Amino acid sequence: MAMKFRNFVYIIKQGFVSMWRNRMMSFASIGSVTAALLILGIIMILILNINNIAFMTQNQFDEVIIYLEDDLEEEQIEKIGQDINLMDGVLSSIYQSKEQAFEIMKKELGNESYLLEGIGNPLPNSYVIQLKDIKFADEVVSRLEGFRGIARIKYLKDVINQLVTINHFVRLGGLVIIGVLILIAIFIISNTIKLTVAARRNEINIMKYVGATNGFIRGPFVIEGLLLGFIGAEVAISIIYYGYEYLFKIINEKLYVLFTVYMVPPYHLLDDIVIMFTSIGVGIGIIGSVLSLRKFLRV
Amino acid sequence: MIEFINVSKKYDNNVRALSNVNINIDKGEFVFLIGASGAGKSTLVKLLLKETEPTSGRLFLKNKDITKVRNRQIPYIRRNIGVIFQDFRLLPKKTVYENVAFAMRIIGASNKEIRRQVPIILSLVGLSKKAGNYPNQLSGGEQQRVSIARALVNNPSVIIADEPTGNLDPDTAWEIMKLLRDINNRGTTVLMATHAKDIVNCMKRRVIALRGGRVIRDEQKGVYGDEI
Ligand SMILES: Nc1ncnc2c1ncn2[C@@H]1O[C@H](COP(=O)(O)OP(=O)(O)OP(=O)(O)O)[C@@H](O)[C@H]1O
Ligand SMILES: [Mg+2]
Repeated sequence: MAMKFRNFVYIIKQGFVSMWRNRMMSFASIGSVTAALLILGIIMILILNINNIAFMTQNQFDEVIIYLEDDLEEEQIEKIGQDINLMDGVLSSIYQSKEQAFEIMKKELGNESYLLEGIGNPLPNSYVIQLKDIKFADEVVSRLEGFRGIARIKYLKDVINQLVTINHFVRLGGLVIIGVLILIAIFIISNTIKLTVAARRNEINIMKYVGATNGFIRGPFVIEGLLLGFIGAEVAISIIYYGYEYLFKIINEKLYVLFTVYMVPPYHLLDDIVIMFTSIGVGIGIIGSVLSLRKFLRV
Repeated sequence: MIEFINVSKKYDNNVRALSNVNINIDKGEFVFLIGASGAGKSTLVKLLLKETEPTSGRLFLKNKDITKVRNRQIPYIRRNIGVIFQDFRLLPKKTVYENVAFAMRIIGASNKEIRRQVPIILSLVGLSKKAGNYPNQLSGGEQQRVSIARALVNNPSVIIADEPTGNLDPDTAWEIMKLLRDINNRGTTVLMATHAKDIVNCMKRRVIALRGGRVIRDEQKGVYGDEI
């Protein structure tokens, strides 16, 4: 039978009343939901930002740098340059001798360039290859690996791949932690609801004799669990959102303006966080209360 | 109205609380259920309320077979029955009015229906003036009247009372009996389990006597008897 609206209003009121009656446990329940969601939020923001950096750098740096072995002849170096220019997907290549590289390093160090005095030039000769598109990177690199005289190949796809790997680990570790925290939250909520159930034993008994449906009896408890989860979620949303916004602002203003270019702007996250956190919080609450009721509702 | 056909009940601990009970109660009857402690009176009541299932036999309420029903059907079966207990079972934090209204709210009555029906029932049990009192501000007899009002408020076709006068002094017990008689006179079937010998003997109604889970006597205008 469909739950009637006036029943619904009555049930919600009861939910608030008993939540207030067990305020200590309610507080613990809300805190546990908030904690789980906070960790989720932090991990989410980490992952999103790593993805974002990977995505943006991918489009910006479509170059491959090869470092040559030190003992090559002039002709061998030139031959390598010609072969590179003949490859598919290569837009251009620029040769940088070890002397040029050393000069550039000195310039970059500026006042501290004295640090380099007295040591030999440790830098290798290199080619900086500009690709037509990042999608040629893997193909070009695997061809280059067949070349003789190349000591090391460096390309940004590497970095991107590393970011992706980090991402995997963060996600995996995060899932485990979040899973555990959610279970703890469910456990705490179900215990909170049990207190309410105990406090209202008589009432429930009478309800049964008068012919209340299980749905009607369960209603207030589920609503109570739902409210606990909901409040926990909204607290977590506020902390995560305003926390991230604050961090974003600080990085933007005080540190590197450039760096925030790679960060996901807070307002992009708001909708997703609100929907996701609210559903998880409410879900935890409902599961917690249904679990605590399962046994005792058998007539 | 109520029919037991060869009903037996064995609890999980192998106690045989009822054996081959056959009872047929018509609409509008007033029936006493008597028997020593442990004879099976409360078990019979519990079977009707679907708190427990019979081990064998068949059980009918208002011509409907309620021997085996789905759990979700049980609330709707109970709405045909008003229950009264020895210990009143009122909600201490609700007033008399609220205790009675609670029974209506539970089955989804509207505020309007509640506002109309509760005062009628309270006046029927003679508690109009105490509507705003809490249970601990009432005498035992008054508390039992509240529980009767609660049992009546949804217009059940049967009132089942398990030792309703057990906690009351003789005078108060008689007031409650008069009330139950009035209710019965208005057409509601009453089944009352009791140990109150005087009451049974004075009322001269149908008596069903149980011993060791068996019906040993079932007679119109019966008395308490020595065999109990
Ligand atoms: N839930 C139960 N589990 C096991 N045995 C039970 C249960 N309820 C009652 N019994 C047993 O069943 C028998 C009948 O009990 P019942 O409560 O029906 O008696 P009664 O006639 O109501 O007694 P009283 O007059 O003392 O209330 C008793 O032997 C009792 O111990
Ligand atoms: Mg009994």
